Order: sequence, then structure tokens, then C-alpha cells
Amino acid sequence: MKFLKDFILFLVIILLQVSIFNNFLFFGYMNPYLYVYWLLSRNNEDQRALYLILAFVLGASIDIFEGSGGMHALATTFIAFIQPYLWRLVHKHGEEDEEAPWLQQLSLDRRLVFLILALFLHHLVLFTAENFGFNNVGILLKRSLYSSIFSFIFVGIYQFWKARR
Amino acid sequence: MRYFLLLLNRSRVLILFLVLEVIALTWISSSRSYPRAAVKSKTAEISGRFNTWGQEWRNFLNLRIENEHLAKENAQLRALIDASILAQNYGADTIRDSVIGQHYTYIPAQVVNSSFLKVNNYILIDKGARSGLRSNMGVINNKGIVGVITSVSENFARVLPLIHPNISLSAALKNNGFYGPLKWDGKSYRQAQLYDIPRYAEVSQGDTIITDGRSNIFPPNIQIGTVISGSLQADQNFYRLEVELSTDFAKIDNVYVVKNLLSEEADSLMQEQE
Repeated sequence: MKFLKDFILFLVIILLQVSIFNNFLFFGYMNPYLYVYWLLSRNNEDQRALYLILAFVLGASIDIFEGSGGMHALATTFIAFIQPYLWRLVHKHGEEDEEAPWLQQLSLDRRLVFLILALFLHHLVLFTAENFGFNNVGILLKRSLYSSIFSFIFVGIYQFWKARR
Repeated sequence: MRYFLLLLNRSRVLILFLVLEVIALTWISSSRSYPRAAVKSKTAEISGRFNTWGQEWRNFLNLRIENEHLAKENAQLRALIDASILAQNYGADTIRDSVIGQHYTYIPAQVVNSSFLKVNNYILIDKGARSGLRSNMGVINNKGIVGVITSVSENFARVLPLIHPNISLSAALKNNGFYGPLKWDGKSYRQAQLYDIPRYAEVSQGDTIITDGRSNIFPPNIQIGTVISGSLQADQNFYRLEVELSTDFAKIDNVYVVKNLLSEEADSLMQEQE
């Protein structure tokens, strides 16, 4: 049952990304890629191989809709790989609540730091792949930063809303 | 051997990660190369169908603006028909037959999906092989040049817009005829660059850039943009001009696909020479 729910959420998030969020373009640089949140919000430490493949499939589905040929697959696989290390980097021993779901084990401020770091890295890999190299580094960094901040606003609001409940 | 297997088992996540990344990288590089863009026509059919649905809404919301554009264009075309031209050479001995003289025909199409803020931008239009579209046909709109078709499926076609790093188009200065390749440096979707204009050419700000007949894709004398600024290239002998594009890629809806009726004839002659 939980598997089915996860699977439906997986499909819904792809559809949301390609139908709504891909059409958000603010100030010329900001395009939110929120579908990564599906990956970031779950613990992939126990089944890393499975989550790597799922991440690849997630990215590849976005690629097929966007016609962007492998860029999203590259970025999501990368994020799925470094996610546990990032998590360990920001989390502090003794502070976490073992009972809570994975992401909620981090305190709110640490969770936000984790999310912005992960989003920025994802966007950076994505835009580097799109650019196919490091020429125009300035523009690359600017686009990654602005877009990840923009994605972060959505994700951050969701986190605050969750924390208040 | 046992140790090796143990090592392999321990690093299986890393190996899987590397394999997946290599797959993604091959996918990226294969979809980037211009001639192999045909692979995309399969995914184009899927995303095309999906995007048509969203586009119907956007079309509806932009109806008023689009109508104004069409009305303007109608007015321009009306000015070109025979009835609105004063025939001054009554009794002349040559008759222009429009059927024999036809060089280009235009197929109207609608943009279903497009991007303009990325580096590898693309446009998808709602006409395909069924409407007689082929790759390497030019696409224009009422403002200027849009791009070149790279691949077609049954009902859709993918257009490589002017704002794509792979494009290179022959363009000329309207007032003195100097020409060079027009490319895009990936910075702003409003500006492209015209290279190889000789230093002795007189160029001033606001000069019009047009297509010239060398490309065999676009009819000559279609506006591309205007000169904003210029600087000398590294070799000090040629100018590199910043061109403000007349097509606004942030709002394109109605486009026309240019069908060159004589392109095969010209192509075969070109190949003969080589």
C-alpha cells in the first residue's frame, strides 16, 4: 500500500513538473525544478542501489517530456548518490528524533540548510550538463543560484507549514 | 579473487552510480549533435501531444494580442497584392506569371512548446511530415527569422531556433551587402552576433541585418535584426557585431515554414561541384 502511494506520488510529481513548474520563468533566470524534492525527502541509506535507479528513472522521465536528453537523469542520479553524505554533513549527533520521518530528524534550520545545498548542487549539475562544459561560468553560477533559491522558496514554505502543524 | 569480489560487492553502489552517469552522459552527447537530432523525433511525438493540451489554454489567453499581430500582417500583405500597386508600365511586353515564378511557399504553423532562457533552446511546432515539412526548412514569423527545422515526426516538427549555440546562418547588412555568419553566444535571447564583417565596411548603430540568398533555406531580404554595437575580432581585421533580434523568442505563436521549391535543384548543383 505504501509502495502504491509512493508510486502515484512519483507520477504526480513528474506531471506537476512538466505541466506547471517548467512554465515558471521569472526574471529570465529562475526556473524551479521541484521534482527533486521527491528524492530529497526520503531516506535512501538502506537501499541505495534501488534509489539510484529510481532517481535515474525520475530524471529520465523529465528528460523525455522536456526533450532535454539525459541532463535531468545525470543531475538526479548525482544528487541521489551524494544525498547521504550531505545529510551526515549537516546533521548533529544526539539532536535528532529517531522516531520522526527521515527529513524531520533534522531540526528545521539544519533541514533548510540541507535542502538549499542539495537544490543548488542539483541545479548546478543540471545547468553544467546543459551548457556541456564550463564556459560562461559566471552565467552558469548565477542561473544555478537564482533557480535554486527560487525552488527553495517553494520547498522552504512547505517545510515551515509542516513544522507548524 | 575472493578479495576482489568482496571489494566489488562493497563498491557496488559506486559502480552503479558511475554506470548510470555514463548512460546519462552518452544520452546528452548523442542528443546534442545536430545531424543526429533525428533520434529526438520519437520523444518529440510524446511531448508534442502533451504540450498541445497546455498550449490550447495559452492560445486562448493570448488571443487578443495574436489577433492584433495577424491584422497588422494582413494589412502589410494587402499592400503587396496587385490591386494595391500602381501599374506604371501599361502595355509592357513582359508578363510576370506567378505560377512559373514561384520560388518559395509558406506553410502556417503554431508553436506548441518552446524555450528561450536555456542554452540549448528549442521550439516545437504543430505541423509535421504529414503537412509536407522536412528537416532543413526555414521557419519565420511576421517579425523575422525563427529558426531551422531539425527533425520531423508525423504531426510535429522540432525547430532549432536562432538562439541555439549550434546554429550558424548567413546574414548580410542591408545597406552595403557585406555578409557573414550569424551565431549566438548563449547570453541573451534578444541578441545574436554577426561575425566576419570587414573592417572597412561602414556600419552604424541601427543598421538592418537581413537574410541573404546564400543560405538556400530562407528567402533573401527577410529582416533578422538591427545592429546595437560592434567590436573588432581578435584578428583585428573583421568586426563582430551585436545584433538585436527582431523576433522576440519570449512570445512566438504563429510561424510560417518556408518551403523552397527550388532547393533540390540548387542542392544537386552544389554537390556536382564538390
